[in-house]
Amino acid sequence: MGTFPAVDRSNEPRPGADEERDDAELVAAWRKGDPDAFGILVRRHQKTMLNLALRMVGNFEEACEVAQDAFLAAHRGLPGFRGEARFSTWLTAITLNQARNRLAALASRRRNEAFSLDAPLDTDRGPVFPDPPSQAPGPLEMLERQTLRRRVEGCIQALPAAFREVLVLRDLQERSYEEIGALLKVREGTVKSRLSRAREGVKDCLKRAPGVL
Amino acid sequence: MKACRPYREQLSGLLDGALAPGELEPLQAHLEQCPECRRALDELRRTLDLIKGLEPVEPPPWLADRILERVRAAPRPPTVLQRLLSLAARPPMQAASLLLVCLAGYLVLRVSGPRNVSAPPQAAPAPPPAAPAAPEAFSPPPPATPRLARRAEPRPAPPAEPAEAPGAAPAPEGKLAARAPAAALDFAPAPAAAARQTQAGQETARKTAEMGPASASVPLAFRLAPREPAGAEARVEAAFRRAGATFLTPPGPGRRALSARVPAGALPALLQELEAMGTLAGPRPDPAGLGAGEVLVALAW
Repeated sequence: MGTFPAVDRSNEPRPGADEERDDAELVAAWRKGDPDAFGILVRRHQKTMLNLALRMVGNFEEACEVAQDAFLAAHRGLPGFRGEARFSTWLTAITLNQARNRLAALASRRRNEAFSLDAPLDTDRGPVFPDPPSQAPGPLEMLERQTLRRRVEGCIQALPAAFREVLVLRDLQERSYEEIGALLKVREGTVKSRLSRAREGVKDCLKRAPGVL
Repeated sequence: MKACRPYREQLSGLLDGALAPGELEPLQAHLEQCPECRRALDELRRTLDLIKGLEPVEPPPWLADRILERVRAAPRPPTVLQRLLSLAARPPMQAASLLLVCLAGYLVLRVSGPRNVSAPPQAAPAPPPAAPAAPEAFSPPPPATPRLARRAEPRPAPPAEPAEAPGAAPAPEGKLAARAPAAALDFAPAPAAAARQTQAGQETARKTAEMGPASASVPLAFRLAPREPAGAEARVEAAFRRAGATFLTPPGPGRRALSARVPAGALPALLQELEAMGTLAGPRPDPAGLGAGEVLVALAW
């Protein structure tokens, strides 16, 4: 099993007093007429929101669309944002909603399309995602780590959306149980239980591939 | 194996250090004598390592510019004042209805007094903006520019879901939740102390009561003192559902307030049902004055 290097998230926005004050200041500046303030907010949060969208919809191009739609919706809703929640939390809720909408649209589109060899298969045990087609030019570059990463991504993607979003928020976005509960409008106990089932789901999925776990 | 099940469900919390105080010791004792659970814990730990090892992607260099281009091309979000003024430019019948609803709202303010509406104005949540603006819209709204001629301009669709209330109903397990747009973020802190929850419920009702100038209609705010507090939440929710209400801030565990859009025709029956549950304070608007649309109702109990 491959060992992954520590993830460098140092350039991502971290929730904290200074960070939130800065966001709040930018929102206030935007209200007072500073045309650059929203652009700073976009550049500051685009990576986090893009990654959230990517893990939810499982496709980079779609995730870019989701991130764009989310910021556009946030801009429309900004006059009503009163700072009761942190800006980053508010933006995360918007991005999650946009991702859900996109997933629903994609599911609807899939239903209306002819059978596709690479579409997820609906089975009694939930959707089964085939291995994504290789993007690598040759077998030498198809390293074990890349295969493993794709498998992990595929297993996360195969989770039902309600479980996937808890897992993504907790294990990839490092949000607290409390914040996840507030974002998803569920109790912390429900967060725990969904997270446990989501992790078990990924584990079972990974175990189906020999030698992964 | 059956005896292992409750412990298996705690393994995830163990890895997060999030077990309840009484859970840790029995789990550790079980793990010491159960090799299968120890193996399951090891597999789960390695799974978690793999998940957390997924590296975040970098946004493409064009993403921020594309977002800002789209923002500039989109209509500028109107200020609360602009939205209110745009309502005033509607046809006479709508204006008359609006006047009646505003009057009802005013009476609510007078009747319910500072209990419901005395909070500072910045606490008001925001409905999705619905009015357009100038093409250079990326820049913030000017302080106060009345836009009485807005009706002639095209109206963009409201944002998909710019700020759904995180206090709303949980999505069904395992299903996608395509949620209705809601007014704004409304943080009702689920895990906080009971007193805080009650406060949050009242806060929600108060905030909803303040939505007036920023929403399509002025909310009717009510306060219910149920004769039987136990189960009041479920009875209230059921009454709203029977009335065909669309929840903006639905009731939830520990929550003592909700807001919803209710078909105007169903309002009298709803109020009657609520009155049957206890003492209901609030306005009793003339159904004829509410028109055929929906009314925004905020209820605290």
